[in-house]
Amino acid sequence: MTCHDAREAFSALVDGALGADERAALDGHLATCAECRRELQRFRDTVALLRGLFLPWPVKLPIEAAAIVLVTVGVVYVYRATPELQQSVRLEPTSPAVTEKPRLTPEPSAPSSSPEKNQPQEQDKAGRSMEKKMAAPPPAARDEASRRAADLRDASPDAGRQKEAGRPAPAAPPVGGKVEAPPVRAGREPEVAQERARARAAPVPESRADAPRAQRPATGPSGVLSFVPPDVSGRLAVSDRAAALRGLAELVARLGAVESRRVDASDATLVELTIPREAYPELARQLGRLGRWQPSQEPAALPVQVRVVLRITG
Amino acid sequence: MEGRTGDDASLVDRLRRGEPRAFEELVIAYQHRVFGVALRMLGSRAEADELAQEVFLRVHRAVAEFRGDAKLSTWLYAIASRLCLNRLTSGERRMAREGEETLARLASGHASPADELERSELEAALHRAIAELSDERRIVVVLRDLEGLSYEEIAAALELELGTVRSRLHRARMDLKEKLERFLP
Repeated sequence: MTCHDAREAFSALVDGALGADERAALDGHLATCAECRRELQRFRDTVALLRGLFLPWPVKLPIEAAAIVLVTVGVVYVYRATPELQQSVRLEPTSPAVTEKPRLTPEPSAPSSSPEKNQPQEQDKAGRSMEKKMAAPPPAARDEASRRAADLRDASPDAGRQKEAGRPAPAAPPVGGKVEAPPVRAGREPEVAQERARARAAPVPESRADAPRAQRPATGPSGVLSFVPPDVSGRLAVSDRAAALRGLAELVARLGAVESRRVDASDATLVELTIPREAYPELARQLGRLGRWQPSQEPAALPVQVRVVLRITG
Repeated sequence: MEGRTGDDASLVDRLRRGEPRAFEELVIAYQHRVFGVALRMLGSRAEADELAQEVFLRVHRAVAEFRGDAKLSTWLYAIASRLCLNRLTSGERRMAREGEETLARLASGHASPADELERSELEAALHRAIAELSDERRIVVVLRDLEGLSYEEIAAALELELGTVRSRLHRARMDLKEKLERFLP
């Protein structure tokens, strides 16, 4: 095994994806090549760096559960409450910008970026041979693999649309027909009505990537949907939730804030609002008067418009 | 790559029946992952936000067609990845991107100011290096090293040969190693 071959196998080694023969050949080379051992250590360090920084989002992002629920409800509500969206989902024509497979540059299976790339043929052969061992599933696995591949082809943005052309979407009402009402829990009618009104008034999330950008949903404070974590989030524990909500409404009006969403759950009310940065300290003080305010996410540097998600319990 | 797990199978069945709560559970369970892939690929929270919405709307529409031969998560990654790559190659992307500062801020956790400063520099360098990878290499790194997908799952999600996945991942990591030399011990 040459140094180049050995280094080509580093990535698979780190991932435990080397076959026994490849591993034995690599180990044999490393036993006699100090330079490759050093390079392997640096390669391992790089991967560790990458994985250390890229911890899963739930670990790295302390997103308030409230925001998650708001997002969820937002998606469902907007979808159901917006007939134009449902129509676009069902009737949209094929959109090349979305439906084509990614136009990626074909990449050789085992390209070389080292000075040794003047011998691409043999190295490619070696690389392809190695890849074939990995790429070719055992016969028994082929049917399974092809079924899975079919499933994932169906996931392609155009597949669902093409198949759907001849039948209605499972949860979509007839085009032009009555819009299915979102789920309404006891005592939630006013909020649901507000949510639907906001959904109708707001830009419709456009599922066509070739649609004009102006039709895309606004993000930030005016957007109906947001997957972006709030700037500030926390729990406000109160003794009387209704009174606290009234107090919050007064605060919002007095401090120039805008309430963008509210969701009632059995154990909490979730409120999303946006407030100018200079007014945020006063909001935080006043929240402390309404109840026990426990911000779980409150960065030192706030944006000009601070998006806040409150989970009001009590 | 395995087929559906028990939980996934149950969720998919409920999604197919049109249970409202099932879709909420789907979003709760997968929004971080979808948003994470989109953010790392697109570099902009606003665009990642849009794309995540699009992914879930497509899932909502197409779940009846999902036969469950692949894992639900792989199916979602497939949709998210393809939409990201299509958007990156569509030429309609916003010119302004929020850049590494946003990404570094997102990735920062709790640390001392000195650690924070050092890590910010490192994170900024890392994010910059990742952003400079070609799209097809970056998606493989994101799916493998951020999301923890196996080679087989990545191959299925991106409709690539295993050897191509392996090759792209290796090239991407080698690129990153070269760019991050000064941070390595």
